[in-house]
Amino acid sequence: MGNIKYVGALLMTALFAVSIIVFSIGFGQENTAAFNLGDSEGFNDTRDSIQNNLVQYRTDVINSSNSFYESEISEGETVRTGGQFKVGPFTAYSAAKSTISQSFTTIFGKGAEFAYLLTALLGFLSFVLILYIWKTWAGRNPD
Amino acid sequence: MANLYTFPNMTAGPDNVLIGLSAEIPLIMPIFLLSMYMIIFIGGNISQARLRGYADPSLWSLTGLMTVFLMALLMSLTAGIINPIVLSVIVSLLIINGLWFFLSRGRFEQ
Repeated sequence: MGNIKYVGALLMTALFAVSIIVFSIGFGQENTAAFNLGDSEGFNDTRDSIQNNLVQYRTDVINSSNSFYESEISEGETVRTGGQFKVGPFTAYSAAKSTISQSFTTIFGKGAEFAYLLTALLGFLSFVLILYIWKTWAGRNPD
Repeated sequence: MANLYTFPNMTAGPDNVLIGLSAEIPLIMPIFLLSMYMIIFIGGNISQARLRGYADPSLWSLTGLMTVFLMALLMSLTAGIINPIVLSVIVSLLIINGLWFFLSRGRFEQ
């Protein structure tokens, strides 16, 4: 199991967990259920904790992305700055981000309940993008 | 004729039948949900193994738990059908199963 698969599995688990909890609470509130998962403090805390972690994950990916963009390889048989590997994918990522954001907003609206899903997914796309550029540039295997 | 338990009031609507059953036999709904899960889990694994030569237990377990979760949500609309703890346990199992499912995926296969 490589870096991308492992991080992807954990991230998808977090998204899955918080989606189930939010859906369950929303279902109970909208249908005036006799009880719902929101009555339990534990699940509310878990939801808040996961959402904070997902936002922090995106921040970490942005910081790593910036530092990676500025990085150089000083030794070995490769291009030192790797600029030609970085420019294309970063531009393509911006286009994909705009497309996904529009589709996501159309489906889920601009409410805050599901906004963290888009945040986390875009963060994961950036993470995979960086690792694949690094794979092309430095010849390592993050799969 | 003697009965094993007191019959619920059948004329007050289906909700009252379920509430009456749960009041008389508290384990009836958890056992029903467990049987639904086992039918999907075992049936799915056996069918897939027969057709494809391999089974994907994490997928069928997740499918079974998702079904049970949705049924438990519907049961939570009316007080007295299932215990809130049962719903919490189902959600907890679902999240743990999600971890199992996602860690067992290949990057592009299946």
